[in-house]
Amino acid sequence: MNLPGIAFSSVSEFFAMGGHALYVWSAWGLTAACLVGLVIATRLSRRALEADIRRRLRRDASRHSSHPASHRASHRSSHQASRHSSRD
Amino acid sequence: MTADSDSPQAPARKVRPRKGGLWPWLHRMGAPATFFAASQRWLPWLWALAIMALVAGSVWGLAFAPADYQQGNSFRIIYVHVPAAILAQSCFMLLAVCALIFLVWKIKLADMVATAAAPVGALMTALALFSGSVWGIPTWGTWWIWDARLTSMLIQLFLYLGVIVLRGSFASRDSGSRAASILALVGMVNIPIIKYSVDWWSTLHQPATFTLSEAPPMPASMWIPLLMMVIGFYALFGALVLMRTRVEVLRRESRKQWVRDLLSPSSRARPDAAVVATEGDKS
Repeated sequence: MNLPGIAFSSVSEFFAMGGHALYVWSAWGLTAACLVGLVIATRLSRRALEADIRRRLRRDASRHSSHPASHRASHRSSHQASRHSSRD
Repeated sequence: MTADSDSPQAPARKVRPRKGGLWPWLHRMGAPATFFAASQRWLPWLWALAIMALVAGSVWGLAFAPADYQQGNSFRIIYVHVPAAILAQSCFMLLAVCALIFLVWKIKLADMVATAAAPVGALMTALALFSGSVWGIPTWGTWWIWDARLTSMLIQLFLYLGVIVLRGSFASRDSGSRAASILALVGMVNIPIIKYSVDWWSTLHQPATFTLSEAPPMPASMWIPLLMMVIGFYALFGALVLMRTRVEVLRRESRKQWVRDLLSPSSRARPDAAVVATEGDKS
C-alpha cells in the first residue's frame, strides 16, 4: 500500500494501530455495530407492525361480511356503512 | 385527541391549492398522513448523504489522517467519539423543541418525533461515554474519573433513560407524553453544563474541537475527516429518526382510514403509492 498520504506502510500495521488496536477498533466496532443494529431493528419493527395491522384488517373484513375480503375499496365502504347501522 | 390527526380526510388537504412559505408548509406537515407520504421522499437523500460522508470520513480518518504526535493512533477514536457526543446534545435539544411544540400547540407529530428520537439519543450518549472511556485508558491512564464533563454526560444518559421510561409508565399515552415532555424541558439545564464543564472546572478532558470563533487546533488533514463524520452522523441520525417516526405514526394512526387504505388487503401495490392514489380519488 503506497498510496500518497496514507498513514500506514502495510495492512498489518493499519490493523495494529501502533499498539492501540484494542482501543481504536473496540470504539469504532461498537459504534458501527450499534448504529447498524438500530437501523435493522427499526426496519424489523416496521415490518412487524405492518403485518400486525394487515392481520387486523383481514380479521375485521371477514368478521363484518359473509364474503371474503373484498378487492375493491367501494365494497369496503359499504361494509362499514352496514356495520354502523347494525351496531349503533 | 385533537383535531389535527382526527380528521379522516387529512390526505385531502393536499388537494387544496397550496400556499407557499414555511408556516403553511409546517402546518401541512403537522398532519401525520401528509408527513408519512412526504417523508418517504426525504429518506433516500438523507441515506445518500449519510453513507457518502461516513464512508469518506472513515477511510480518511482511519487510514489517511496522520497519527497524533502525542497520542499516536489512539487519537483516531475522536472520529466516532466527537460526532456521537455532538449528536447526544443535539438530540436532547430536539427532544426539548418537540416537547415545547407538543405542550404549547398540542401537535402530536412533535410527540411522535420525540418518542422516535429519545432511544437514538440515549444510544449516542452511551457510545460517546464508551468511546471516551476506551480512549481514556491509553491517554489518561484511566477509563473513568468523576470530573465535570464525564459526570454531566452520565447524567445526560440518565435523563434520556428517564424520558424513555417516564413515557411508558402512565396508563394514558397523553399523560406519559406530557411527563416525558416536561422532563425533556427540565433536562435542558444539563446542556450548558456539559458544554461549559471543560471551561468552568479543571478537568482531564480537552476543550471543544470545533468552535465558531477559532480554527480547530489540529491540521486540516485531521479535522476535515472529523467534520465529514459529524455531517455523516447528523444525516444518519436524521434518517434513523425519520424512519422511527414513520413507524410511530403508523402505530398511533393504525385505526385511521388512511392507514387502512395503505395496508388493506386490496392495496397490493407499493404501500406509499396508496396514499397518492386515495388523494387522486378524492379530487
